[in-house]
Amino acid sequence: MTLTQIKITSKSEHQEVWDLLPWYINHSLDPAEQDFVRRHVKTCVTCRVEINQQQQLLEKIQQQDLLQQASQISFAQLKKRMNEQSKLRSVFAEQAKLSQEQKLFSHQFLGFVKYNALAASLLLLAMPLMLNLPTDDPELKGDYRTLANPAEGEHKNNSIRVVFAEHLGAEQIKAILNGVSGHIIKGPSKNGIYEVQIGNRQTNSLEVNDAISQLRKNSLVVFAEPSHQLSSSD
Amino acid sequence: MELNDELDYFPDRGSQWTSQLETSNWLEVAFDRLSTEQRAVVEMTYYQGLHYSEISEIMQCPENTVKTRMFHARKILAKILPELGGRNSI
Repeated sequence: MTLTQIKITSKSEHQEVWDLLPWYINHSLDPAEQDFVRRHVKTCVTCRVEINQQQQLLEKIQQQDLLQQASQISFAQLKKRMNEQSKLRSVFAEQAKLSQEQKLFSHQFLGFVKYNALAASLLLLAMPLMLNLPTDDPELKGDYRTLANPAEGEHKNNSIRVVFAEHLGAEQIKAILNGVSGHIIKGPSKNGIYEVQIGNRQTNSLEVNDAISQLRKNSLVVFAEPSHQLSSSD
Repeated sequence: MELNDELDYFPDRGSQWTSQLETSNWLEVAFDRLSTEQRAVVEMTYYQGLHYSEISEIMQCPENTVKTRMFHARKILAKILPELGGRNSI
């Protein structure tokens, strides 16, 4: 009777412990339950084998959990890199679009240049004819001025720059200039350039041009040009 | 982007990594054989480390039901895992 009772008690104990094993392994049992399981396991081989198996299962499951976390992290990093790449790609696309537009523009520009080169060459052919026209219109001469340029008019219109032959003396120079109603207002510079005013304030550009052409005809004059056309060489 | 670059993100490389991947695969297969309730109990026990009383509260069922679900889940897993996890000696 006593033996049967013991046997029954131990069977129900084994069943009870068997049911508690997963929580014994995850260490969530309260101390009393833990002691109860520990005492039983000391004498029960079946439970020890089961504990071993459940322990391995727990480790595998936790490994998988780590794996999932790692894969989530790696996926997040991959996503981040993909986003960065897509950002870069959009920047490159914009740059490519810009360069394509530039190419298109240069294409159009080249076409434009090609057709205009023909017109320009025709213009160049017509230039000598245009230059011979006695005109002072700065627009036609392609002359332009900015605010930085000296104001047009007054004596500047009448001033010319002249370079005489090297061996010429002051008296000879004076004589040549007198012939065109000119007088030195500046010079000679280091390079032997004289700034000469032709006539007075009333002298018009036609008279200045005549003076220049007369000077050019003189073999003792090396160079004669209106000053305002040479302002950049000041 | 090269494959090698991607491998840098994983915690372990080489054989350990592939064995973990295999474990993950066969655990997935094994867990698919469990009912939703059984899987929930197993996951809450082994992933979350919860006591059966806490699980019973969460699942709104008696503690004995939790134990029974775990009992059946263990029986199913014990049957399947030795076949699937033979290489991993579970």
